[in-house]
Amino acid sequence: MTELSADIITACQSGDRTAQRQLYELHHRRVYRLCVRLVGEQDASDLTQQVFLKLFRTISQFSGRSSFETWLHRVTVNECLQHTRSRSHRPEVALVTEPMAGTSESGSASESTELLHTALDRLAPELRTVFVLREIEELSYSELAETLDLSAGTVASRLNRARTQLKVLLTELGWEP
Amino acid sequence: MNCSEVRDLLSPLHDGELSAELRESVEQHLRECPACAAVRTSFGAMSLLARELPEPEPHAELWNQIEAELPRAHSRPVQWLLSAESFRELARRSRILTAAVTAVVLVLAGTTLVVYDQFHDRRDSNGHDEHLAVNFDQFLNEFPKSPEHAQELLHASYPSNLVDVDQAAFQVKYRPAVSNRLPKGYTLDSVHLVRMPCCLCVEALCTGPGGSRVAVLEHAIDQPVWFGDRPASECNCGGRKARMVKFDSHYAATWKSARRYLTVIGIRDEDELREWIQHLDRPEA
Repeated sequence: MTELSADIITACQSGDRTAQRQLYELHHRRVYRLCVRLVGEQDASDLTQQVFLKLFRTISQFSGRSSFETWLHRVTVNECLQHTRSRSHRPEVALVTEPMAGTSESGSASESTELLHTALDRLAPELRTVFVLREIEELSYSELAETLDLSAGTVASRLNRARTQLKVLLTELGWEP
Repeated sequence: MNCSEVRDLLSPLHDGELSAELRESVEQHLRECPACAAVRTSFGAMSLLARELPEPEPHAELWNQIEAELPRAHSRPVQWLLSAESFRELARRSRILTAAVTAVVLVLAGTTLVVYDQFHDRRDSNGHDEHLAVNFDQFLNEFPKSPEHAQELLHASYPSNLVDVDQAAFQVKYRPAVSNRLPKGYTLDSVHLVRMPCCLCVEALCTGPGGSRVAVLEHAIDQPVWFGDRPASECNCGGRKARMVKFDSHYAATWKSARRYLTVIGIRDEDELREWIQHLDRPEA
């Protein structure tokens, strides 16, 4: 955690609105990006909002034992997984075919990244989470272990499973490395 | 090592998380086993694919929506204290208590005004810090005359640290773009971390052919406010849409790289901007 963040967090713990805004400015893109990758663009704004509200409500409990980024990732991942679980209980939502972001008609994303969106969406949530945190958020294994409350060995094996299954899904969709 | 053992270690190998000894054993196997080597190659291809995912853009109203929810979460005790019903209840109980509560309210109101004056968010209607615009305008005006003095002005307004590229990378948790090869003839003079309202900004000063100076700032959020009211033009340089402003006989320009925003100050023209974009936008190491 940078010294700047430490100052902001201390002020946030006192309910300082300016500090809350600064904390938001520092981290909202990261939170939003993670939400888009984990639950899709459609629900990402609502979830980002929920994450920050939860964060400001509970920031007084942040003790600094782990880094703030780890704590923020954990809050975000938990909100996203909870959302995914509640969504999976609604049969009318076609989870597995819903695109993560954009559509093939948008013309803005390459065909390959569209395939990755679709394949990621079909991956089991816990595998999608570990892949996204590693490949997009660039967390190390120790950061992944802390964020997901796993051992380093489990992180490695879960990443292996995520990549292997993702490769199968991408190949089924016509992707060639 | 057999294939099964190697497959378990392919992710740690790919992510640089294996010890040197294990890495050598796994790589030895990969040199002799096309099937395992193909799996490792596919891991690399998927990493590249993940990095190509476009950066999603949160909508501008998100903070307002969050802030609208915040008062309910933080002001319940105060609402109870000041609600008309509670106030009447207290008044019924005791006139002395009423006087005391009124005094507290007056003190709180006075304190709130003082605190608000000291700490309120000095932002315009677009959410930009007005003081930042003034400070950055001074920086742009001074830069052509003396880049070092311009830097001093900026650092006088915002806390900063002189660092090397590795220290900067450790602090901001990404490799600064100036760690890439700079345009031909340019060398890196200094790197500072500047605590600006938007983010912890990486600010680098470079010297080019003939002693020309260019500052490079890498920041998390677009900062159109830095250029104030100066007329801006848009150009499409090397696949990036950049915003350029003229100051003195030079230009400043800003564009969005894959993950952050980059601003260069002191460039001569669009051709030089194209060159900077090509160099700074290279994939992170």
